[in-house]
Amino acid sequence: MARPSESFPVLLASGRKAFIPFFTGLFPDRALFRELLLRADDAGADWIEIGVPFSDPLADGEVIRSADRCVLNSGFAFKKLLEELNFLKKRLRAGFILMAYFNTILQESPADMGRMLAEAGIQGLIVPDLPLEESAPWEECFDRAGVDLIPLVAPTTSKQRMHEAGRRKGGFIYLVSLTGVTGMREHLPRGLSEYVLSVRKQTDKPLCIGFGISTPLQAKKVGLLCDGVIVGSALIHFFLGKEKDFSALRRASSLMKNIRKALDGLGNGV
Amino acid sequence: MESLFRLESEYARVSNDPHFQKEYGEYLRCFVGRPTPLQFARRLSQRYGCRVYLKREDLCHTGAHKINNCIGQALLARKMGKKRIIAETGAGQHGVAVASACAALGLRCQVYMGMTDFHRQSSNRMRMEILGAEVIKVDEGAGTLKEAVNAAVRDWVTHVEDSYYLLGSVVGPHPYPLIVRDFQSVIGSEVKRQVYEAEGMLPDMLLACIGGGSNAMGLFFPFLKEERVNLVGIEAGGRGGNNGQHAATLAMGRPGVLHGAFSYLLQDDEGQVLPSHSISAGLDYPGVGPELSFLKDSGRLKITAVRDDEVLRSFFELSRKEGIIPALESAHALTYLRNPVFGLPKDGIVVINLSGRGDKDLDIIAWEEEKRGQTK
Repeated sequence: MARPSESFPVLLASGRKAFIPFFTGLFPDRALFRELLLRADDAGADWIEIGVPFSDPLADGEVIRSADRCVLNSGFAFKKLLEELNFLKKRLRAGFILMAYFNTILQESPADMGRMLAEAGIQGLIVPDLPLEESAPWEECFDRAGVDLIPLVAPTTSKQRMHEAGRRKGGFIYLVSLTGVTGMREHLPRGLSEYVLSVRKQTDKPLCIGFGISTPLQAKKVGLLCDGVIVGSALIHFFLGKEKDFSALRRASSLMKNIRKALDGLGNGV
Repeated sequence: MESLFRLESEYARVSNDPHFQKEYGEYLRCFVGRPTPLQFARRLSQRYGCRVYLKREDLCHTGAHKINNCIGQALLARKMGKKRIIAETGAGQHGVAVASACAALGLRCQVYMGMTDFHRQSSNRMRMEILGAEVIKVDEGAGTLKEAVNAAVRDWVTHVEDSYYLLGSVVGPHPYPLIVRDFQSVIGSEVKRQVYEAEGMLPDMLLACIGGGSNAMGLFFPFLKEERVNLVGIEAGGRGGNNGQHAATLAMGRPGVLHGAFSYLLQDDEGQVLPSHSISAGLDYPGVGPELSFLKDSGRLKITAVRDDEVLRSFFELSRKEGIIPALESAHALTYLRNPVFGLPKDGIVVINLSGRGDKDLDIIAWEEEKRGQTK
């Protein structure tokens, strides 16, 4: 898979919905993280989103925060994560998208950070606390390095800013499904389809939806509205409290396969 | 971002609205008890060879300067049609001030408080509950101010439509540092007038403790252009030395982004935010206001840090020499007198912001005394 800005048009043309599972970097440990990514690839993920654990993850709910804490407490290093991705990049079909809070990215100059990410095989970057108003210089440098900076849009985003997000270089827009933090929800947020339509009016960029999508059925419903689905907490929560348990791995891969099937069941133009 | 844009434009409107300013002024006068006195500290002055004045913010209603900002923002929230107020608190001074302001204005109020602070500042927790606020314990990380802010921000992004986030310091995303600074500037404006009345001239030096920095910005801001007035910020050196043992962000941190602001930050080599420590819960924060960061870099503001044990000495010194029990936060500013790393103006005028009173800290004092008794 190439970077989103190059590959998404191909996906759209083939009618395939993008499936993007999310994992916390090096969670639950390095070996299981590797295994999880291999299984995500087998299950038919198009990209795999990897979250860089952060001390103060403001946009994240309880599940991802717990995973972050778990990894940070066992001596996480960003360099180790990049090494691991570098090792995996040639062994997987899926591409990597990194999710990092701005203070992680800020540790290097835009050009150096862009180069580091690209070397590890990272094709896209999501920075939840870097607003559009301040992202342009970073976007430029990352783009030159071959990394898409993916803009985020939320239900509270104004039309103007939706339009602006559509004009940016990133290969798709990350649509936050709800006003709130990440985490599993029993129901999809009300008014989701109206919200997606309102974004479509502002841009024809591919739209991927994340936050609160936990089941194959929810993924299928969301897939009908947009071009890709991001699932995180529902996969990670299997491992909480039983970090060394292989049954968690089995359950995570079976959920991924079922989501892939649900998305494929949509077929062309459904 | 949209809610921040809206806050920015609403705030710009009320700052030019004479009705709003009149109402705010009345609350400051009758509810808060302003102006607070600028007191000449006779015995401290004798001891340290300069003319020491104390800005008595400890005499504000609720016992600290925090209420100046809370009344202002609560009025703004009501004007914006918000029904519910969310706030974070460290020492509980901001929380109590928010709870009072909300009670007075008929707004619902929820205050997030870290687990550690919840226990070490339990009298303030009770005051908030008596005032009708709901206090929510945050059991994460070190259980101090940073975790309380995280929880408040997560609540706010979830309930942004009907809720107003009432931030207590000059931190967080724009326009908060500006709003809080403006509402706190009443401190410095009064000092300017009061020093003129007492001495017929500007002060030589202003001293304030810095955690997030609201009492410091409030005192310093009206003096920024008066180049001959020295500004000194005193940070929490904690147990001294190493990472995790202090909260001296400006003195020992490096630039980073936390809670939506670019400022000095206590962080490791990969940008993970480090835990802070201070004997005073109100200073126990690894970030600091972006404007204070700028003032440090520009050289206008000098920064020093003092250790917990030195602070305790100042706490008792003020109590026994002037008959005022200061908050441990404010005792940091007082400590500069005994350890004046940038000097003291001989026979000159020094104004110390006595930002709060010490009743809330009695448990901590008792505990420290007991600890000292044991080591003897």
